Amino acid sequence: MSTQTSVDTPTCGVISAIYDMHNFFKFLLRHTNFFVFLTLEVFCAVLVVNFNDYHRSSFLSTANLINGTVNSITSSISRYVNLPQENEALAKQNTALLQQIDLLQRQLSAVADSALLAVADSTTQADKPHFAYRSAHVVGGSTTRSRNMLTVDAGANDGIRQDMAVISPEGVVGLVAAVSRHYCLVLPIINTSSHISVKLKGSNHRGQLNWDGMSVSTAQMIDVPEHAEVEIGDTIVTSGASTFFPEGLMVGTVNYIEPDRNGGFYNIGVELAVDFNAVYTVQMIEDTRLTERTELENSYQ
Amino acid sequence: MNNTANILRLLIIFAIATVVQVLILDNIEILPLCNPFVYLIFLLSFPFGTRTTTLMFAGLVAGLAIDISSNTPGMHAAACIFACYLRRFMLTAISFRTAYKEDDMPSLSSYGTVWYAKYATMFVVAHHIVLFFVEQFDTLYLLPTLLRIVVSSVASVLLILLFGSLLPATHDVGRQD
Repeated sequence: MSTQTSVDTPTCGVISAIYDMHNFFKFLLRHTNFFVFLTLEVFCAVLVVNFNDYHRSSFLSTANLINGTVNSITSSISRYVNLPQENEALAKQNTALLQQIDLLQRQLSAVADSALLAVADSTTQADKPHFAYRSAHVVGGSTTRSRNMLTVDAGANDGIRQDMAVISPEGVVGLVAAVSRHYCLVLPIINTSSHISVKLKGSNHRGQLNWDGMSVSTAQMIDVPEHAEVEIGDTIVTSGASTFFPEGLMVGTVNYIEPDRNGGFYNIGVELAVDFNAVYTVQMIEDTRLTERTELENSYQ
Repeated sequence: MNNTANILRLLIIFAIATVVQVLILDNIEILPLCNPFVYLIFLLSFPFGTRTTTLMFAGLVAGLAIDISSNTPGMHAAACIFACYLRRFMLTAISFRTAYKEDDMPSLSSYGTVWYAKYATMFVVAHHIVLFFVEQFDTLYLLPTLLRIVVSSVASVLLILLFGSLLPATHDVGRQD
């Protein structure tokens, strides 16, 4: 309580200022707990907001070498236990690929007589394939939270960059969110911040794939117009509308359809093709023409 | 019990609880929507007379330790600090007719299962509310988050009671409710 007398000397002013400061510090000390609490919470808020804003930082994350190594060891143990399933999935993928090679060889030999082949040869040989694939393994991560992340053992040293697509033999897994030297973090479909552009395979109607956090095996596709023909069991694939995923990659199958409350659209339940509790071998997809495409799109403003 | 024994006990609890949490619990799915966090037993075990400031810094450290391994910078730390801030009030709310001994550490064997369960539940619920709402901050699905809080709190409390009953007693106070 400082009652001011209206004496206009500088000394009085200084004394009352010191007295007020003293009271202020006493107030702070009386409520130390609360102010320490506030300070610490603000510090944590800064950490959280930084993470969410860019949500791709590898600071404090499992991409760190120490955590990555520990995760590699624990995952090699669990991988060994799961070898039979992994082998089966790889065998199925092999079969599909061999069939495709067979088909392409037959198509190629059908064109072999054509005179165009000589011209085609010289230009296509100079071209790199559109998409480059690199295989890697999931060494850590979560599947039980509302925001799950996967740690994969391929990093900047292996040519991995942010936003590269990640798939498994069963279908789409997610996008690379952060990269360190030997590891990368993948934002999977089973993360509430994941929004992938997908489409109905049959009718090519596009929609957005979200995840509400309830079940690891089901995601939701929204913004599908009501006039689209959808049935339970239809296949959902990537639409190719974004620069991230090649078009036509398997995402899942329709398991329920309901009209959206706001009218005019469907909300579709998608049973995911990938079993996120058992995903180990993945392919990282690099779009070798990405820089060319973005430069072209940016140059025409 | 003297100071070094207390600190040693706390450090051992911290080491075991963090290892169990990170290597085992974070990798298994008991139920959908169930995310138990047993590392909170470390914060529960601090002596009754610990200053709240010290407790909050311990919460920061414990929270960051879990944050590092789960890609959630600041979330567990924020939740732990909040729960630690309220710990004094919680202990007062369930206190015995005689005051706590300042140096004693809360333990299930010394103070009784019912008391420990009340204490753990309050702490766990406070922590989980902050944690799951912060986790869901910008894409807020209210019902799954509330369900997640309830299911995870029950699981966390059960696991903490299990863990706590395995710890040795700190003081022969006898059961008081």
